[in-house]
Amino acid sequence: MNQDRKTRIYRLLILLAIILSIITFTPLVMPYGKHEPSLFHLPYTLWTGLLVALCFVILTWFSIHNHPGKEEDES
Amino acid sequence: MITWVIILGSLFILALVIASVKSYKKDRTLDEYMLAGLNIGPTIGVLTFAAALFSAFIFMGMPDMFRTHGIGAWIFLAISDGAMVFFIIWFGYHIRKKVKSTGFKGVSGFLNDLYGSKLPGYLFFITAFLFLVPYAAIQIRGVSIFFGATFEGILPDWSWALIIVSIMLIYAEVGGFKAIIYSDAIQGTILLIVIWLIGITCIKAFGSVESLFAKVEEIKPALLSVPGPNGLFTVQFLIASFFAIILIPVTQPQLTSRVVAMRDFRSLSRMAVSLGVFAILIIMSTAFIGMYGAVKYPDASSADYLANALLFDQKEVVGALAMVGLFAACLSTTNAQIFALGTELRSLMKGSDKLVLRNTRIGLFVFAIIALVFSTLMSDELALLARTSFTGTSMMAPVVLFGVLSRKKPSRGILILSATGLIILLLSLLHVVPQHIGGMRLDFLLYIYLALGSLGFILFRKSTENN
Repeated sequence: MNQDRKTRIYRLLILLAIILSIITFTPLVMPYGKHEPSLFHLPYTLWTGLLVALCFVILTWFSIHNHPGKEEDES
Repeated sequence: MITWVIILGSLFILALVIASVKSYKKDRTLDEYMLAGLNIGPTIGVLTFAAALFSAFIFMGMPDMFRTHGIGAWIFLAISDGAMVFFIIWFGYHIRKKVKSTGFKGVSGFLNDLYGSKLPGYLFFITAFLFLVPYAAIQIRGVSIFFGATFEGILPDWSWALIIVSIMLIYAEVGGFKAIIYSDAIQGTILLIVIWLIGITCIKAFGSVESLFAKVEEIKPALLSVPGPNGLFTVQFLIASFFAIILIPVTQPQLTSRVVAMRDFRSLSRMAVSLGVFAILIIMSTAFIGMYGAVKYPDASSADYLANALLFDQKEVVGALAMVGLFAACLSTTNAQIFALGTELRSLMKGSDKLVLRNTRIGLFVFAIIALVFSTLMSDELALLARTSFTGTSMMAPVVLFGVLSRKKPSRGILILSATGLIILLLSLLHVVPQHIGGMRLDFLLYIYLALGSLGFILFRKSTENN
């Protein structure tokens, strides 16, 4: 993959991480005083929060594979 | 249980001795002693990072936080940690790139090189001292009180604190950073195993996760949503905590030095992803332990709840492993913090390697004694005091980030920006400045102040460059 494309993907991943961070603090993830609907018996904020945390790990995984400085640091 | 504690405790001490002896080299250089030769691989990396980060705060503080304030604790720590691992890749790449051209002895010395002044290094060191010593002290206090209550009449609380600090000093002095990393790896492994053994017991006590949460809903439904029964987890609190935590690798020197000391970018990357998974696994189990406590021990004191949930409600061997795990957690985190202060002190010193090493070792001893004395004066709220430590050091984020990201020497005005943030925060902790202004949390306002101030410096520099 060429360097420009990697840089574009990496920037997109940063943008997604910022969007995910913002979404976390909205009622979409943490509605005040509500714990329904539950998923696998986990209260709403816990399972949505678990999804957000997993998304961050997945974004991190993609970001290391598309990091523009990956080869530079190893050389 | 005592027999198991003695057996497992002896094995743990033996592992520490082996780690120290293996790390000891008579003719090692100062860099080998202080930074393990900047050559940490991904597996040891994730364990040492996790051990330095999680500690007694996760073992005791998080279950108690879930029990008292509810599942908002997941947003408080797990999501912030998830964002932090993403941030580690971004920041890790930039700081490692800079370190290649300047070298690295510690964050304070590194900042002095970048700014061409001694001020940023001293400012960073003072901040680290002010917020790491109390943090180390609360860990020592938490564990010593817990041990004192559990083995009532055998040894007084303060003697447990003395034992922790003595062991910490001996193996740090003998083995250096490498021994600390090995002991972190041992502690990280114990932490993951024991916290899940306890978590599973807590779930089994109710039959299933469903029954556990159904019981919590019956007793205190406010625990299942934000802001929690005491109203702690407001959006402002969680956003301010989010910034305090994602900035940990930037401003807590024990973690910054681990980012720098990773062997290469590939090791750093693998460490970051594994750390994210590790954090989710650990924090999820503390949620179950906390919910268990919310049902079984809703009105108990923190010490009573933890003694029962972590020890007496467990099988003897698991309880004993929890004791050793707690001891190990406290030991490795306080050691990481005290050693980091030693590294920072060393990076500000000039002279021959031998002289600097001797003075650094004296410094380590002094910092450990100060933490020991402080540990007799602290309160018991582990998780919230840990957050205060993260918030305090995060005031230095503009200084570090401008230093690392600027191509030219950064403006010294950045120092004023961070120093004023630090002073206001300290005044609020001393209750001179109110902790809420116009309905807004002060720490939340301070992050806005730092962000806008930093933006101002960026725009000013761009406009002067264009002119």
